Amino acid sequence: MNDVEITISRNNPHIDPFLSVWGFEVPLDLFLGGLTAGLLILSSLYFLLNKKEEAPFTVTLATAIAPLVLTLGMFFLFLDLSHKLYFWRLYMTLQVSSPMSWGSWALALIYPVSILFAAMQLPEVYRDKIRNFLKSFPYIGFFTSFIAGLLDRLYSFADSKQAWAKKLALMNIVLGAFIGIYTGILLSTFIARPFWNSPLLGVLFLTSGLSAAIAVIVMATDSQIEERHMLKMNLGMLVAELAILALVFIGYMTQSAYHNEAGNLIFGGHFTGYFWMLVMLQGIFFPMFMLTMELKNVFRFKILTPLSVLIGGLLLRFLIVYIGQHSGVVTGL
Amino acid sequence: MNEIRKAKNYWSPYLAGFGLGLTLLLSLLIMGRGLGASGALTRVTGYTMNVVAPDHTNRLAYMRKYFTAENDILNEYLVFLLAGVFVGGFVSGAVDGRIKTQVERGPTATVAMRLSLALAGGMISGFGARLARGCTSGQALTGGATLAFGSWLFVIATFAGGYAAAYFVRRQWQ
Repeated sequence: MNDVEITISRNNPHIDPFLSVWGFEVPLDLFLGGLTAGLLILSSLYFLLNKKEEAPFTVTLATAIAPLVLTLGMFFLFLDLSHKLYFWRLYMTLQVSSPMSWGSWALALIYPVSILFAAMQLPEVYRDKIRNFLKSFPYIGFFTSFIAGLLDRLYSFADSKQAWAKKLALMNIVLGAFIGIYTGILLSTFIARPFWNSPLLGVLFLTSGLSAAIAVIVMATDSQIEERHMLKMNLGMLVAELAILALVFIGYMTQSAYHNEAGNLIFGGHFTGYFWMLVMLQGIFFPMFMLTMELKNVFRFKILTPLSVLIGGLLLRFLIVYIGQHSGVVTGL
Repeated sequence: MNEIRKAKNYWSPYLAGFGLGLTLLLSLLIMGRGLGASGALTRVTGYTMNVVAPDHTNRLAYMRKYFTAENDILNEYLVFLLAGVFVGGFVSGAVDGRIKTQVERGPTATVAMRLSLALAGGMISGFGARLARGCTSGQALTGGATLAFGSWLFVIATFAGGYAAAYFVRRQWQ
């Protein structure tokens, strides 16, 4: 039978000669997930450390952006599904050995926790702005006013539960760290693609997510003190990313022969140019240069410097997902 | 608050030229080939054409040869070189405070005229670069460095052509 022959002689479309099942949706979701994780962790951490004066945007508004970013990421994930109408089945089970299952539940849990925490931190002036904006819609005013009403009830509930703030912040940090790391674990448990099969991928994606979140904060904040502080943190994060990548490369060289082959894809192989130009140069070294120059006051680009960090994070995800699909555990392919 | 440093002057052109020569030498030593920008632009054009009109691109013998089974059209040294030129130029401008959104033009020229002439001139020079199988970086720099006769002819022709054409557009820069 044709099916059996194709299966046993390894000529499976989309699997051979290389995996080609993931397009742009998955790396985009990984990036937005990492960004969400970073925003959640930073806002809750700075709240717990009582740094509201030094980092006003981080504590009050960053956590409000997180659910929006997460929704966008999940939309792209949804686009990638083959059986879109059955996505709800993810929430009818918990498969203990599946990172995807754990991730789905964590993502679902993030919404109530982060939205409640965000409502608690949102200053009155922004509550008014949102209320007025929602009430200003011409044709769907009845619907948007209803949403505004719901939000008002959320605010009063949040204000009445301020005692929960610290616990919610801790949950945010745990969930954020989980989301940041699980996006890497998702790939690294895929043993058949040795390019991804490094235990450090989770940490790499978390660090990159924190870096991206810091970049967003730098772009959005009005506080000079917060901006300078975050620029320094961003530089530190990029240095950490560099160190982690170095360890990942060492892993390629010292793990199995398949890992060697996978590493060779970027050390002289087909993807060498792409990886070193796009991920290392544009993704790490160029943002490091921009941040160093900003901190030394050589120039000031409010948008361009953090944007280079964001583009770098995006390129990291895209290239790792794309190159990984070209690595394999059957030699000669 | 610290002050941002003021815009600095450009380097001496002799020093910069020497630096460019060193870059060419390093390129030949490390990559085994010289510099070249028009090849990169051809590949970017080919890639874009393939995205927009793949059947038409496939029918053109000139473009078809860039699409091989072994390699992507953009996965080539010259493309990364060209990208690096943009990054390096930006870095140089940023460090010396020269980054500015502007249309460089003569005192009497309008923006529209300048951009139209730039577009027309670019089209002519792009066509010419492909006809000559190289531009100033590929033919004049790299070819000249290897003392290729055709490259020296190219240099002479470029200057001659430039002088001749400049007469017709001299008003734009006065």
